[in-house]
Amino acid sequence: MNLFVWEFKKIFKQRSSLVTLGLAFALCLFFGIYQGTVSLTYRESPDTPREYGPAVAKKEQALIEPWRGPMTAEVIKAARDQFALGYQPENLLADGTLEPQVRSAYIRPIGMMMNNVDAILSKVGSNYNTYAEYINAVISYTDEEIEGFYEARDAYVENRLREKLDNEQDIQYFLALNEKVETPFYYDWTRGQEYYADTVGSILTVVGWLLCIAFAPVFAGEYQCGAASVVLCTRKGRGKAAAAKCLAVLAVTVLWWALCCGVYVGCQVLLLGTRGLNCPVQAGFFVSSFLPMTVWESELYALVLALVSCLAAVSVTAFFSARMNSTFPAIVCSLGVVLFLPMLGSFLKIEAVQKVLALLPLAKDYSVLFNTQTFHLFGRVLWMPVVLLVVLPLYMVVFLPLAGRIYTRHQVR
Amino acid sequence: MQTVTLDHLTKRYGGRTAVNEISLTLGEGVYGLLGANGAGKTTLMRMLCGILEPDGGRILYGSSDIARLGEDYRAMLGYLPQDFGYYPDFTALEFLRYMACLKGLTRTEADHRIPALLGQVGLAGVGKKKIRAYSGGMKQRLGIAQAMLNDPSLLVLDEPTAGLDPKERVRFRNLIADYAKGRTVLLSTHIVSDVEYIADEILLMKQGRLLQRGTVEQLTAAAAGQVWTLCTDEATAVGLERVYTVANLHHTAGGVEARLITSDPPAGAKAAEPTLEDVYLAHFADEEGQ
Repeated sequence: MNLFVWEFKKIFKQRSSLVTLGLAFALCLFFGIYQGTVSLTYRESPDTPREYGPAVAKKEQALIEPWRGPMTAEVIKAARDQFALGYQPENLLADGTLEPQVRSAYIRPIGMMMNNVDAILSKVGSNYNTYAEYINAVISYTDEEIEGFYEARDAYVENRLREKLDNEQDIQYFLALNEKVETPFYYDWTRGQEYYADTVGSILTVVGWLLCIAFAPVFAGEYQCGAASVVLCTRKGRGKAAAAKCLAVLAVTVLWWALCCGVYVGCQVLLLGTRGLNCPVQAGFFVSSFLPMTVWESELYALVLALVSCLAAVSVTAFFSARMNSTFPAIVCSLGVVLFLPMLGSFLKIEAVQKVLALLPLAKDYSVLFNTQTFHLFGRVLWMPVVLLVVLPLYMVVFLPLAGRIYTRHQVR
Repeated sequence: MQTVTLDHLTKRYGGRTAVNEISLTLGEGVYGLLGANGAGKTTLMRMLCGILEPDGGRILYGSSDIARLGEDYRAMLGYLPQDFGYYPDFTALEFLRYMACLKGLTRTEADHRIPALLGQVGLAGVGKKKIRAYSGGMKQRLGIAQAMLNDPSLLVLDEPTAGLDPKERVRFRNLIADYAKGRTVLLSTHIVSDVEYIADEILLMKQGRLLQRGTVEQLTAAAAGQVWTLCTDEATAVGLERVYTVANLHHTAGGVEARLITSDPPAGAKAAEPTLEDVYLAHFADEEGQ
């Protein structure tokens, strides 16, 4: 058995690491089930029982079925007309809301579509005091307004970018991205899928923190228990052992990432299926986003970002582990870098500091796709999600050799 | 076989010099390193094993500096530190296989060597037991086994008999005496009897310096005229302890027989044959912790 296999095995032999890794897996399993069950809920009326998870998904998918497809002006007009059909005085309850069955039949299948249409076309910024105000606004959109929906959306996106950004180069960069957004949007049921995509980044960030705790003893544990004095005296106990330890840490990280993603996405597919994943993010909760991605593409980005983030974080941990003489300070220092510094950044509200701290491992998740943070290099705009995929692997390149170097030169005092 | 040469080896910790300009050559045989706590034995051994850099001087294996030999030197080295840590969730077999891998042994070599060593240190029947369940003595024997795993030509053992019961200590002494043929073994201990029978040469260290070296016979001969016995009553014996280094008080029917280490004996004292323990006491009786 070679050294790498031994170091790999040693990680799983250590009780504290095993518990932490188990916790990470349990967390993903829990949220994998939670998002597809408890989180995805619907109650038609206060008198009816609350429905959960796959039952809700199945029902909503069936309701949307006739509306599934490109969200053309004709489709939006038909949806508006369906709103009007449902919103008849005889269907109204005393509090001004619709009969539950009518809402399910008329409004619910196209609720997301019309929410998005209203978000773009609304003159009042979708700020309604009552449900009736909202319905009246939606059914009052003219054919002409609806036919200009995609142009209005583009204008809306541009206005928002201009409000938010000062740099024209940045604005043009995001407008160019927006041009790549495929229209008309493909409309389908995306609610549950977006819940999964939205939270996967945060959950894997926590997994990353747990991995840091699990790997903190990789070098420091050897110093702490006194094994280093023997290991460092052996033929392969320096450079080769350090390389094997670093490789084992990376391998377990990739394995755990795959397991955690596997269980999380597995729950998603098992509970909700794959329907809705090929819709653009604009068809769901992010109508005004410039992001030219489908739901599954954005989720895939979140997974890939989580992988490189976790690899970067454990590299930092390996460095501190090699540097410290015991496990606890290694945990404190690595969590300081991957957890507390990014938190500090969000409190400081200084853009330049925030931008730098955003480059730390595990500082950013899925939400970075919807941000407009950029860097400029040689006159080119570098968007944060792209920068992260380039910068985060550099942590491995820098910190793992450093960890190895420190370990091989460790002095047993 | 190559010799190990320590050339003006020095190590300082802040203002304290732990090892002070030590020069010596180790050839074939067993070397017993004796010294009080803080004498610098462990520091010297760590430098010899390359896990602590000296502040001055160098260590040569043959004619090459061990720092330059690197992996080749470590391949010839076996080390049991004083405070060796184990992996509690490994079995002894797993631990030794891991060490074999670190020491660059092939699978076949490890499969051949590990059971033999476990037998030699008396752990043959408990190889599959987790180290967590081992007693202190068993762990120590496992430590000795790992140090000898690569059949090192230089074996460095820091307090190897700590935690061993008398029977195990005898077994260990025999093991080392056999092993030392054609090799260099350096072992440090507080227990004089551990080295008295097997050491070809004794190295006495005090406050970072090499105080004296020689065979047991040479050292004891040098102490001639410093060891005395005096038969006296109990009250006088108590008073003697305040003035002299008393190696032993033996209560007999006629009173107390005191063994004194001094070059200025009291009246009535008879010259006695010095032992290595007397030599040790002659040098370290004034040291703290003794």
